[in-house]
Parts: sequence; structure tokens; C-alpha cells
Amino acid sequence: MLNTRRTLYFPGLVALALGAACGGAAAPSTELLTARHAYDEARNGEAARLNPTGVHEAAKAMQAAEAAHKDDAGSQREKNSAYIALRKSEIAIAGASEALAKQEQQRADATYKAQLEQHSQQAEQQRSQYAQQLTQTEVQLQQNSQALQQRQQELQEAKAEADKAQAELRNADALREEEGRMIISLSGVLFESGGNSLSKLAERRLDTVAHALAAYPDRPIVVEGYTDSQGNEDKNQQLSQRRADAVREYLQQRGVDPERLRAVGKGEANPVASNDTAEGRASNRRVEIIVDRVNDTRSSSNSPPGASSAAPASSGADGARGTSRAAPGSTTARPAPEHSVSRAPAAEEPAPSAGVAR
Amino acid sequence: MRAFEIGIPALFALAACGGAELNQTRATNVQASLIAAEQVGANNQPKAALHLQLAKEQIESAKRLAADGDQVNSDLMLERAKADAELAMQLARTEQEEQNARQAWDKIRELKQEQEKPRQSGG
Repeated sequence: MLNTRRTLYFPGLVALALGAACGGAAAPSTELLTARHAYDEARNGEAARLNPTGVHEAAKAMQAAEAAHKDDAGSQREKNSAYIALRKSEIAIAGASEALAKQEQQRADATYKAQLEQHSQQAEQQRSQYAQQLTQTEVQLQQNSQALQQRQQELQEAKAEADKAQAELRNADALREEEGRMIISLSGVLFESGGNSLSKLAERRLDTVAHALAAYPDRPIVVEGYTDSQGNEDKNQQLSQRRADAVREYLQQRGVDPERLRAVGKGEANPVASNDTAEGRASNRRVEIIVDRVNDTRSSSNSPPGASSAAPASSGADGARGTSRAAPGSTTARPAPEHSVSRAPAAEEPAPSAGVAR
Repeated sequence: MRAFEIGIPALFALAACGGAELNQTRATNVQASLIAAEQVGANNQPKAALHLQLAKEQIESAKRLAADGDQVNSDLMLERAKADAELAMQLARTEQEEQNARQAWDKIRELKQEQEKPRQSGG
């Protein structure tokens, strides 16, 4: 409340009143002095601004009290009028406090409304942001789903193509499986005579092989080159390596991962037929593409130089290599030379005698 | 409040039985002010209740003065009672408004706390 100072001034006002009485003039009553003080507080304080009507009522009551004092100082009328004036001033001050409280409440209501609106805007903004994110996620999801469908379709197509290629190879007796490894054996006129350039026939067949290999994207592949036993053994070894390299490079060009591919020259080793006949030598001049098992460490290409071949049927340092694959009665099988892996092309093998294509 | 509203007319009725009567116009004004103060809850607020009590005591004084034939001071006493009743009403209204303002600010504090909750939990 605004009238708390009144009690502090009260003793001083009483002293003033007593002083005036001693001077001979009619002294205002204590009630009148108190009323005057309260009125001063009302008209000089917030009440004048916030409650002018109340202060006006207090002023009229104060005038009546002063008139009573002037007419009949110290009378009961003066005291009663002063009492009423005091109350009117107190009413004016309390009215000002009420107005102030109303203003405070209005200010609080406005603040509350503004905060509520701000909160609402923030919530709306956040909702909008979430909705946008949701839309983006949905679009992304749809794109991913479409990409997945497309990928699945591609995989299906690739698998179908691989299955088809495998079937073709099987039909041509070029595909067999041994201990979980798939072996594709290509023979016939694959290279120019004495050289390592792929013939058109070889390229077509390797295209089929590349399709078949797509079905095993995570398995290592070893390309093994073989010759017949005609001519110099070392030269044959080098030629087989170059031919294996040529096949490896071609498969690379057809999309087979180079990291999975290795080429090994096997020379005259592991004949699959007798070298005594032209047909047998033609069968021995071949390229075998071995699709290993995953993490298969027994591949011949992984063996250190001097070690036996990884091909189970061709292993053995006792010269019995090729016994499981050589044609019965073959007398041309010889111990395999050491195999080199992907080495640089060697000197051209001399042209085969008797016009045998190699 | 209801009991007091019944009691206020009775307060003035007694005066009427005492021979000399209170100034009816003034008495009616005081009665209206007392009822108005009661209606805004002056009895529930200590300072306002004190002035209500003063007003009632002054009505009793006014009745005694009227009975003694002192009509002038009886009227003044009624005016005093009216002023106290009006002050009681004003004090009660002021208290009510101040309470409303406090509650409004409390509501803002609660709203702020509520707004800060998700941020805190959201980390």
C-alpha cells in the first residue's frame, strides 16, 4: 500500500499542532493533522495519476474538515470531518493501488498471450520442420525402394544371364565342379598359332564365361593356361603364361573384378588327353578358369614357386601328375615345371611342327 | 456473507425501535455500502474486515447519539460509518486485483517452466 509513511510523520505533526496551540492560534486536532497528511500523500502520490476521482473526493472531504476547523476548532464536528477526510484519502490511495494492480494484470495477461503465441509459433515451426523432414525421408525412402527394386531386377537379370551362360558351358561339356570349385575348361582354336592373341571364337566363349562368373561375385578366380607337349618345354611354359594373362585381361575388360583374377601358366602340365594324337594335343591346349571356394587357400596360384599345383588331380612331385585327367594310356605326361603367376610375357614359342595349332 | 446481509438491515431496524430515529437517507446509504463491501469479500481480508467492524461500531454510536437527541453528530457518525464501509470495500477490491495480478504472473512463470521442460529433456 501507498500509505505506509503516515505513521512516521505522525509524531512530527502532533508536535507542530502543539506548537501552534502554544502560540495562541486554534490548534488543529490530531484527527485533522492525520487527515491532512493522508491527503497530501494521496494528491502527491500515484493516486493523483491513477485515481483522480478518488483524490477529488478526498479533497472535498478535506475542505469540509478544514471548514469545520475554521468554524469550530477542536470540535467534534472537526474531528468527525477529519476522520471522514482521512478515510476518503485512504480510499483514493487504495483505489490507486487497485488501478495499479489492474495494470499489472493487464501487462501480465499481454505477456502471457505473447508467450503463448510465441510458443505456438515455435511449435508450429517445429511441426512444419518435422513434416518437411518426414516428406524428405519419405521421398528418400521411395527413391531407395525404387533403387532397390531396380537393383533386384538387375540382379535377377544378371543371375538369369549367369544361369544361361553356365547352362551353355555345361552343354558344351566345358563346365565341371570339383570339391566345391567350378572349373571352366576352354579348348579348341582359342589363340593364333604360337601366339597369345585371342581368336574371335575365344572372345565369344569368354563373353559367356564372364556372364557365368557374375553369379560368383565374391569368389577368387584363377586362369590357368596349358599347352601340349610339342616343342620346347620352357617356351611352352612361357606361352601358357602369356595366354593365361591374355584371358585374364579379357575377363577384366568384360567386367570381372581384377582383384579376384590371377593368371597362372602351367605349360605342358596336366594333360587331359594323349599328346600322341592331334585331337589329344588340341584338347591339351586349353585354358581353365577355376572359380575357387571363398577364402580357398589351396589354389595352385597361391602356392609358392616350386610347390605342387593346387589342382588336386594334378598335384604330386612324383611325376604322377595328371593321372586323373590324362587320357588313359597317355605316355606324354611330364612333370610340371614351376609355375609363375602373372609374369611378363616371354619369348614367342617356336611354331609348332607338323602344323599343329597350339 | 448471507448471514451478514441479513444482519445489516437488522442493525438499522433496532435503531428504529429506539425512539429517535436515524437519518433514513444516510442510514440507507451506509447500509448499501456495508452490503457492497460484504459482496466483494471484505470479511475475508483482515484490514477490510477491521474497517467493517469500525463501521458497525459507528452505526451503534450513531444510534446512541440519535437516541440522545444529538442528530447532528449522529449524522456525522453515520457518515464516518459510510466512509469506513467504502474503505473496506475498496481495500477488498484492491486485494482482489493484486491477487489476480500475482496469479497472472504465476501463470506466466508456469508457462515458462512448461516451455523449458521439453528443451531440458530434449538435451
